[in-house]
Amino acid sequence: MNLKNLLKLLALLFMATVSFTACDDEEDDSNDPTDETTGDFKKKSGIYILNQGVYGSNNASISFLDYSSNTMYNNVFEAANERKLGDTGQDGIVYGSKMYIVVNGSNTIEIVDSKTCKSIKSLQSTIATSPRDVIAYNGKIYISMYDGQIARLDTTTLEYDKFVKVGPNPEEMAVANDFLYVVNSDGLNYNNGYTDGKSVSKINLTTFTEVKKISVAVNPTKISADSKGNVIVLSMGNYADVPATLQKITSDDNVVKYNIAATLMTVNDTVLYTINAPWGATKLDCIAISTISGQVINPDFLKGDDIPANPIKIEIDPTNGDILIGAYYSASDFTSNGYFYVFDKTGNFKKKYNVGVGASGFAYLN
Amino acid sequence: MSFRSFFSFVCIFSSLLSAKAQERADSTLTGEEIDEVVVTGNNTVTRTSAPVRIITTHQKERLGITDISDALKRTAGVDVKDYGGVGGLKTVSVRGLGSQHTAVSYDGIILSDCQNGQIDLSRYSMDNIDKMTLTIGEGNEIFRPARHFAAATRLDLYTATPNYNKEKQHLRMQVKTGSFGLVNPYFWVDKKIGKKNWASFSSDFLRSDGIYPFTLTNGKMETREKRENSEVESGHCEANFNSQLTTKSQLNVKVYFYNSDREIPGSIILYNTNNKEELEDQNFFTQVRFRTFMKSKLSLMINGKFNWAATRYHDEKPIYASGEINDSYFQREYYASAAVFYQPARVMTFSFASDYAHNGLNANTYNFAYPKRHSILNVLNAQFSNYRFTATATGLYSIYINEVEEGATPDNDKRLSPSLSLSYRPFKPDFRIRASYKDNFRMPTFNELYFDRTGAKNLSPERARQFNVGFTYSCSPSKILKELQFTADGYHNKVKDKIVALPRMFSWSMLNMGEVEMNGADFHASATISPRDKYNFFVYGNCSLLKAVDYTSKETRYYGDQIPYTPRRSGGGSIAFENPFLNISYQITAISVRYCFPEASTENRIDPYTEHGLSLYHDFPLKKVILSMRGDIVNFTDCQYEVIKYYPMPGRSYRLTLSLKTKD
Repeated sequence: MNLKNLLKLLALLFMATVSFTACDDEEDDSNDPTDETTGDFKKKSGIYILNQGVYGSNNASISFLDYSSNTMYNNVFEAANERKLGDTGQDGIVYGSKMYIVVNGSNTIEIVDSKTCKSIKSLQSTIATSPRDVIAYNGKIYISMYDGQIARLDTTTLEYDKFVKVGPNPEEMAVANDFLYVVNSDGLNYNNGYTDGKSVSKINLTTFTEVKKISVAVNPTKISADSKGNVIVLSMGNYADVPATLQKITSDDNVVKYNIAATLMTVNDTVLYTINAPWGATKLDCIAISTISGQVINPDFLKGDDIPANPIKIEIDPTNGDILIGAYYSASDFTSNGYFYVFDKTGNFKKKYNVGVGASGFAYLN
Repeated sequence: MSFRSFFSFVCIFSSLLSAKAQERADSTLTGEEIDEVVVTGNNTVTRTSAPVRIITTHQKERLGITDISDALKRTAGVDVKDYGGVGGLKTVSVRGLGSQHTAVSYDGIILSDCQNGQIDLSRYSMDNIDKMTLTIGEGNEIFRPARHFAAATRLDLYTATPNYNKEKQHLRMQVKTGSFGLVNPYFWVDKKIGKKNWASFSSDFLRSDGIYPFTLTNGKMETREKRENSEVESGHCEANFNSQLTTKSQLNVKVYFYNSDREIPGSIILYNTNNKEELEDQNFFTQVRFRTFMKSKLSLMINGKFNWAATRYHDEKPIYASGEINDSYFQREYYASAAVFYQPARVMTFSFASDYAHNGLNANTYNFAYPKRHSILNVLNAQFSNYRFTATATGLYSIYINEVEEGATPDNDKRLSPSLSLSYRPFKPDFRIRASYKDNFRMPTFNELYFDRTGAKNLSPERARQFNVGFTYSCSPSKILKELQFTADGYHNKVKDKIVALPRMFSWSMLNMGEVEMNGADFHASATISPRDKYNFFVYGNCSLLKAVDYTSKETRYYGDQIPYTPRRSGGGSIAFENPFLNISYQITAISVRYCFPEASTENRIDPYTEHGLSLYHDFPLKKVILSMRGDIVNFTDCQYEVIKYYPMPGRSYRLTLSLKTKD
């Protein structure tokens, strides 16, 4: 073999390695079902769905269900703003002409135009960190911060105007009897058995001060008010020997326990919808009870065969009473795009839509 | 490049080889050669019946290798999970098997981490390593402790053994400096004591602020950012004592200490750069090895080790009740092994090894189980080997006994793991066909069994079955083309009961539910070309094809998809030109598309990348010492890429190494 041949061989070897991966003809095994938003997005009425994504993965997204066409639009935030929403976008609310979105991991409140989803302001703060849940009341926006406080946001200046300290790691909030109720989970304090995570803070909305802490079961995370001034609290227990507990706080601060097992819940009027989907369950228990009497109204409020396998959020559509459920793709697939289920008020399956990963918050545009 | 053109390249290469093929002297394995210290030279690579890759100090220079993970990146079938930066975690996964399936040994004894089950290779300095060997499946060296047979693949790291010619002691001093505030001094001394003993001491220290710029792509927005919170300070020292007790017996003692204190930059979280995580690691071990060749047919080897490791994790965030988290974990291991090697006939050898290990983990976390595990491993090997044919059969019987102080005890486990390998040379030139099979498993780690709320005590071991068929070819065709080597292997792996994490409301849980099938092929080619005396070209190339498909459950979107972080195609190459003036080496690595989640969708896609490196090096022999200078440009095209999603890798960086060592 002479030198010329050698050089040829060398050249060949290197061309081979360089081009080996450089031009990639690999097909994505994409069974990606999302209808990407294209063109100008401008909507009148429908539901925004907050897909929280996988924690730490910056894949939170927003989907929009258009009432007029029954079409689901996915990734509307990124399409409207040419940038991603961020990490763990868990909740949002439409109030006035804006939508307020809490993005927990990114420590951001995205304030967007409620019709176009275009960002008006990205609110970041070092004083109040790790936003978790948002509600609106009487011209103000209230955001629970996982660092142990509730921040009040002025809707005209779009700045925080006051903070109130509550228990550690607060989660959901509800308004009843002109008071704000927030659950104190102490969810990150597993090492000490959630010592300070056994209360609901009751906050006077006029003075924006904490009135009292009401004792509830361990690790409360979900709260919802009925139409008669009762507040329903779901405590998750310690995921070991203490099971989840469902309780009612009456308007005079009495705590009553419901004898029902649940891992998700929502309240509409005086009906408490509960879903019990503990780890490894093959069937969901979907029981509706009266918040007043605790009596079972409907032992199985979802009908048919297409029932969400791995639900993470249930809410009742305020416009028509439809039962809305956000779910992961299946019991064993929680990193892929999931589903948004719609059942009518009597529990008949209407439709399911492909949405992003972890549909955990709904915001209604009317 | 399409597959067709790739294979035509392989064919051209092979035909070039065979055309010039010449007969080559062949020597069969003798009993002494089976001792891994004696086995040197590249020929082992083509001779073995399972895929083996060896990297020695010289190759290290030519390949421009800067650390252990870097060396493995140049090996077909190996995927290095690199979290970026100097202090970033680096683990290896071989042929799509998880990193827990690769065992790592240090001077003959397995390094263990009962908590995570994987070894962070960034801890071991390449300066201290003289030779490393990666064996996929079971190789032909059967005189080893039983634990060596308990993993699907094994990486063996060997530190230097001094050669005493004229001088009775050697010194080596080196300092490395470069981008991102890198300062890395290294020191080695060894001394001959009396006629039969030697001792060595080595130490290194590394500091880097780790702050490097990168391009962040967020939707259609691109911004220049800096990687923060990545300062590293680490160091290690090690002492060895070696005694030739008699002409046939040898004793080695090693004492090792490692300390590191690093900030963890974490994954990029959009709009939130506030990360204060820190990790402190300490590791101390001491190991003893005694070998004796009793008569000519029987050898005995005894190994012992004590290992202690501490990990302290710290994080500060307002969301924690006390404003911070401080978790500490301590692990301890006692290990003993005895192995005998017996050669009743020239072509027939047997070995038997029996190992015992006791592992314990303590932690300061709530409700901690304080787990302990007794591992009893026995392995029997039989090997037939002549100049044509080598067959090795291995049976490993493992017993694992679990103990806990708090809560329920997981089940104990007993399993037999067989493996078989064959190599056959059908005709005279050094062309060999090989086939191997190995069926083994990995135990669930202590984290998988006991970690906070996520551990699951009912976990079973994760099974991995490997089949390999391949051929090797080597020859020295002419004076100019000094050496040519080519290996090609096709394989099929199957992983059952794969341990996967699933969410359980707000925490996670571990389950034995995964099932993955891998089909792939690995190719290596190397050539040494000497157009003139003292002018050498070293050419090396490798590439891999791997289809690793998830068949876990049809109730997932990713059934039938390529598993995460596993490229379908990867490859690399290097060319070094060594001459009396200035040596130069160029390297390239190329990795195809990967996915960051099980679903192989557009959203989860990680872009392919190609990385280029350039090194210049030269030795200046002075009176009593050799001064070596080396400059490396890593990633000189400044390619912005990620190995792990949202862990950006550094762009172009520079490194300068100066070393002084005494002559032999």
